[in-house]
Amino acid sequence: MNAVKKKFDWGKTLVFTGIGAYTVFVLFPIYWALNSSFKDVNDVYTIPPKFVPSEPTLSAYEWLLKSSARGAFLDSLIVSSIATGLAVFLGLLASYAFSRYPGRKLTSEGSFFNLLVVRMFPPIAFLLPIYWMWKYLGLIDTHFALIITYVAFNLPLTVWILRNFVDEVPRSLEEASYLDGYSFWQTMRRTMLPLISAGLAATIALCWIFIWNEFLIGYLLSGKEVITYPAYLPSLRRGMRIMWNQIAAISILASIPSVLILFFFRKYIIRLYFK
Amino acid sequence: MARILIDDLTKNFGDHSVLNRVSLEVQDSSFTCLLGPPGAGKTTLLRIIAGLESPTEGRILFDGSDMAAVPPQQRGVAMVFQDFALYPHLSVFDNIASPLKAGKRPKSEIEQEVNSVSDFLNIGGLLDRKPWQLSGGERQRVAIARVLVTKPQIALFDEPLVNLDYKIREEMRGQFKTMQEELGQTIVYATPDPLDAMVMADKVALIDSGVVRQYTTVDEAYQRPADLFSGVYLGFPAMNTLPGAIKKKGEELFLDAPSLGIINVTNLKPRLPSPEIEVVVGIRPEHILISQQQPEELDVSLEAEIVMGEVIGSDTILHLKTRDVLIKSFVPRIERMEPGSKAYVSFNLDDVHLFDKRTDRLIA
Repeated sequence: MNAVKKKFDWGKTLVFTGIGAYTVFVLFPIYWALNSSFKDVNDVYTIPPKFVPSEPTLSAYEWLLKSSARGAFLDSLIVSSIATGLAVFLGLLASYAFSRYPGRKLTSEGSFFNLLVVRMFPPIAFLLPIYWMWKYLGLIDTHFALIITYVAFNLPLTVWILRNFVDEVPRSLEEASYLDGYSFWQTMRRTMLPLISAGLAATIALCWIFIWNEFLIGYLLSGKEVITYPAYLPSLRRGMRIMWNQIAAISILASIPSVLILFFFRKYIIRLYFK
Repeated sequence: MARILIDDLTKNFGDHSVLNRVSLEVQDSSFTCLLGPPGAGKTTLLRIIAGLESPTEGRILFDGSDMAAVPPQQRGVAMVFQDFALYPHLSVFDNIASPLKAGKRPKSEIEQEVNSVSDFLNIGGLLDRKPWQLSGGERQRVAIARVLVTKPQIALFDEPLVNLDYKIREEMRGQFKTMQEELGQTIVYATPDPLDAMVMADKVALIDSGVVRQYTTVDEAYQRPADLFSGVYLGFPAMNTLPGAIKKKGEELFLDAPSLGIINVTNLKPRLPSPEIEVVVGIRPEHILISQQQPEELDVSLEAEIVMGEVIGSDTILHLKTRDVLIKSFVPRIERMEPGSKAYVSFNLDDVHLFDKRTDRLIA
């Protein structure tokens, strides 16, 4: 066999350079947030910027545990978890109806499409009226308003994802279960849920992360009593100063649940896109 | 045990009529086959009996009581689905135990029942497996076990053998029959395969386009098909059908078929709606004798040319041509005849069925 002289592969080089640049682009801000969170606030403002803290300190994190930031995290946790639970539960019922009773008015392809339209408009187009609505009802600054709004905005997503999974469960399995003697709800629990568990896990993960990270709705509907952590961030200005180290600490802490979820639910989420 | 009465049942899906005024009485502890081509309405009929679908009109009665308001959970009906419908996330044991668990039976009893039914069906060694680890035949037996384990009064089978290979089909037919005789449930069994009906059924309901064409014992349906559909459908290979006409000359009746010539059929005593009618002549392949010499003892004998021999298993279906018409003959042995060679096609008039061409009904 003749030895083939290895030619320099321009295409490959270009692709890997691109991927490398993208990786830096994505990872650098995370590194910078981590870096800043261990600095003293004065250290943040040095020029030139310091790539490692000159005197590493946990002061930003200590502040986080004592201040109202803790409440914001708690509120975010409550709102994300309850809204996710509701959106997934309702989404499951709706996707079952879409899958099993297609062609009726409420479950037609048209209705299914209308659900998605909600997500295609810029949220701000809905949010101002929604803000006034809650204001009129006196429910601004409550968990309730936040949860209901998040459920409404995430229902299209949960229905959209779950419907594909319900579609894949053969109807005969449900019918076999009825003939075995199980009621509708028993059949859902014993047969449907285990068979769509992968889809359910992925839906819960995505939905929870979306709500957890959402800023605009949280900012508009939060107040003194209830505030989500993304809405809390802009309050961290002291006069002309922005407390970047504290913001960085919040960002790092807020990333942890998302990272954990993405790590543990990775295989289910990937399956959503590569079915 | 249970007797099923299907009373003037009609089912429409939108504008599409699936079952049209079906009436059947299924005897207690009998094996009844619903036989017909795909799309005839067999599955829909089973689903209505099970309560998974409700009829547009008409009634279903079990032992005289109307089932209209009884949900599937409470009908005492078990069903083997065409795709077997085994719960993929449960073990074989849990699949079979499922109906017993729904009935809140004690654990020891559940174990005992599952073990005894799985021994009966020879799947005792598979109880820990998941359905995807089983072969088609094993899956089917698990589905049957799930049906038998509750000792249901009525067991419905929706084409359970269709997806299996022919060796298992053959074996399972025998097992179904013995099983039913041993356990004595009322079985309604839907199938497109006439062999299923002929091997297993006490009675057969021939269904086509949502209409029951004939409902009687298998032997009766085979010997006296009510109409052309029943004659052609029940039997393998299918009945030969040839065009012809019946003409009256004095007191005598003659069949004039281009492929057969003119034959005196006075002795068949056909019921004629009018003195001269067009007919379809039906002769089963197994009633056609093929010979090198012209036989003397048979009523009709024609010269023909061998077109081909189709050997299936240990039998042969011979295709012959006589006066430009193809006729099939069933020979119960391997018969290799040279295409193009001459042979005689002979049959007895007693074995001939005559159908009115206009109505498809049997007239002799």
